[in-house]
Amino acid sequence: MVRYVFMRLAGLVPVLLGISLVTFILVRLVPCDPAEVYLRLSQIPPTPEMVASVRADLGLDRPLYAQYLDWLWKAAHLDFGVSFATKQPVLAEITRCFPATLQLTLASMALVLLVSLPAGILAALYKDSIFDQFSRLLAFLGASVPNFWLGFLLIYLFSLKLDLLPVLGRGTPAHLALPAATLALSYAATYTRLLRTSMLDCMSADFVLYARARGLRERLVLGRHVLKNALLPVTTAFGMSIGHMLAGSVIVENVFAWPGVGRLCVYSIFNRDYPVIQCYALIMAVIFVTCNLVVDMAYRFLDPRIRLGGGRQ
Amino acid sequence: MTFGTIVTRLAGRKLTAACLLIILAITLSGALAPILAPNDPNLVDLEKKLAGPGAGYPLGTDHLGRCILSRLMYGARISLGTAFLVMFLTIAISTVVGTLSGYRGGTLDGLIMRICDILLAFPSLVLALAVIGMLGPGLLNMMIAMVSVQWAWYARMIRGMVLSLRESGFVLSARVSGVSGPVIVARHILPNILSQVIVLSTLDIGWVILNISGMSFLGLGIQPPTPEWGAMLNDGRQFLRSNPSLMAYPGLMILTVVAAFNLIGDALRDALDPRET
Amino acid sequence: MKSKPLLKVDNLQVRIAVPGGVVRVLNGVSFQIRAGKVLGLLGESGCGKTVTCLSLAGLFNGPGITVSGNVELNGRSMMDLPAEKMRSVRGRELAMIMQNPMSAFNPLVTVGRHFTETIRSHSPATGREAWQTAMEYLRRAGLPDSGRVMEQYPFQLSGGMLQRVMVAIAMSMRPSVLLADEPTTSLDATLRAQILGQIAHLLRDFKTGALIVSHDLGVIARLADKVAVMYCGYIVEMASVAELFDRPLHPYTRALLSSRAGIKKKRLTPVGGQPPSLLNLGDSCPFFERCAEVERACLNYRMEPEILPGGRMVRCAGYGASKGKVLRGLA
Repeated sequence: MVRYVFMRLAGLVPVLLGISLVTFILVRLVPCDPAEVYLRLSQIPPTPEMVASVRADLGLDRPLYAQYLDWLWKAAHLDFGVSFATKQPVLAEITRCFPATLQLTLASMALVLLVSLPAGILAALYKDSIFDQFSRLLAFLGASVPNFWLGFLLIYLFSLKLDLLPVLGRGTPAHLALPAATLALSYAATYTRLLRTSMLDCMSADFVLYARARGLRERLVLGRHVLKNALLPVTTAFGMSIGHMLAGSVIVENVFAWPGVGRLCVYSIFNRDYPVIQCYALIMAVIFVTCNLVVDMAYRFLDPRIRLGGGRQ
Repeated sequence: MTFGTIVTRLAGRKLTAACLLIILAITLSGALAPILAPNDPNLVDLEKKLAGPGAGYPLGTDHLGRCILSRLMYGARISLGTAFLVMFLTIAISTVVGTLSGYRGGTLDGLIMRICDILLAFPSLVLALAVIGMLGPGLLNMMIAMVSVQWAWYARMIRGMVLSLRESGFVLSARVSGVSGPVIVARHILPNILSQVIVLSTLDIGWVILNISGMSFLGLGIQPPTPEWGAMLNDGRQFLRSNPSLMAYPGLMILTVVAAFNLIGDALRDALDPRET
Repeated sequence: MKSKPLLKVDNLQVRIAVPGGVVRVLNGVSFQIRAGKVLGLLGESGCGKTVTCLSLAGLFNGPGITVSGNVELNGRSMMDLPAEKMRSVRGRELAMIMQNPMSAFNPLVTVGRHFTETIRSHSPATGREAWQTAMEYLRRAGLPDSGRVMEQYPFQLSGGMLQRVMVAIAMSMRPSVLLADEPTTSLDATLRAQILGQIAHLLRDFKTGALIVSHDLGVIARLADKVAVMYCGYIVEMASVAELFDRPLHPYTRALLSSRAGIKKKRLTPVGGQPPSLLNLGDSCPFFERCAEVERACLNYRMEPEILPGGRMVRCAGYGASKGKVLRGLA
């Protein structure tokens, strides 16, 4: 197991290098000269001399590989440069906004679990009941509704019509409710269905029949023999979507004026604040890859067939 | 399974048939918008702004007095057209890359697959945002972003299909009888994978439409005043309190189209499921 | 003096309603099992052997399924028992051994947990007591290293070991009747003999009655006192092992016996043809298309059991009114 973790961590290195290379190359896609953009954002007329001196400052006059190594070296020391717009270190900008995004994502994840666990179990136990049909409809809508639109529907209903919750911004827990719900809905719907399918698969397994044949109480059969096995694939899928939720918060943050990294990113795109966008992409990808790795390892730990090795399957 | 049997099997189901009809209707209304639309979608008439449904304006007007129905119809043209184009470009690029990678193998294959691995290490939305961020907002750049996010998935899938076909009996016998590589690919491999790829891509169309309208909503995709559903939603957000219908219509359109595509996708998946055949 | 039957099955019927009709899975299945006696249930796959086991344990249910008839265990009818009562009977009075040991255990739960949870579902034993009992029975079932086995996960054990664990779990409850559904099908021949020996031994020790389901004549011959031959959900013949193997009466039984591999025989004669679809069976004998001795009466035969002199039962038109085959069969 230790060896496995080590191997996986080692395998992460080329992926991280690849990610850094992609984010570095991204800036080369910029159709105009970043130095010019820098000057414009600083309200300085871009004369050729000024551009040349900024290019030298930003290291843009050096060969590409040198620029990359330099950038990588700095990135490894958590120096991602300075925002064109605010002249603050990029990392400081992002870490300032990150807690809000993390809070939103964590709240959504909690909501997803809170909804989809009981709903998935009920939908499986009462297969084809009205509740099951309803959850199917909801899952289907959840996959099809644009979440920016859903956000406004919720604002319209809960804030404007019922006047229960605040509309925009961050602050009290009440502020969190609508954005978290908006972000959570499609995932909750997906996981309800996934858990249902997984439960139904397990319920027809031989070991569940044997558990019943041994006269176990239904609660024990469902809890230990059905749910425990059904949760395994759901856990993996859920872990994999943590990264997607963090990234998916971009739209929700913009609907609800939530001061997180997603909003910072869109703001930076409008400002052509390349270092911020670059750092955002890099950090999100690193988080995403790390999440997937952790989930994968957790899965291996949860399943004794893999944990103890030599599984027959 | 041929394309024809898939289509007949799909049309056999009432719900799927209804979805096909909906998509057909919306596509037609978009394609024929210049003939069918009651008004010029970009005609600003501040005298008539925020009017309710009435003569000449079946769904009323927006904050600039433009006909909402006409804008929705032209919007269908843009949203669906862009989505189909993105899907087409994705398939075109990934078919070339995936086939090359799968049929050639070797270093080239390894290199392409590593590139795919790395692109897939990004959450798709983040990569799309980053590409748009660098290229700048706009329709073309958004399409480039979408394609650059998607091609890696398809390239990998197509490579897998090519790999399994490369070892199949009819390809081997063609190779033994001295048919050249490009001919084998063109005659034997591509026809076998393309219909599958096209069918699978319909599963993703809903996702592409959601993303296009999402980007446009953020102001990163199609720019106003071009009528696009996501951008129309963004226009309407200031009037949520006074004129919620400005947001209701484009949202409903996106929901309907995406839902229809998703249902067809589900039905396709069932139809393709080997367990059912 | 015969002992009172532990398990009495009377006219057990199982029907499944499907689109397009009703599948008659079990038809008038009746038998009795006395203490320490073993009834073998013999038949091809799909004839209803497993359904018999499951419906006896009250585990064959679902949409469209109806089970009727009467099942009495220790003098008490089990057909209308409330679910909780039925549960406490299952595993304790009526234990089961499943077909495939490899898939019968939850891969995420240790063997010990499987064992103790069963014991504790039926008795107020503490965890420690249950653990002790479990160890003892594992040893009796031929797993001397029981402490290690208890802590292992199912995938770490072989099929034979898991089969022994299942036997141990079943016997640890000292059940009145053991239902064993193809107990050794998935094992190789050496192991099969060992485990059958173990089962026979335990059944004798505890005076447990048993229903052993198998398509394997060897298994039946090894364990059973009496045999019921099943075809298309009917018990077509029932007799003691010796009688049945000596003088099979039903043409189907004869076909089955002649399909057995023997030392003297050079070739196997498989039973020709396929069983008919169970959907909407008509008024004819379901075996007539495959039967070597078919006659006109077979086409209009309601599968009424014929009780012959000496108490043997057979369902075959040939033994009906004309009794033509009786003489031939008993001669």
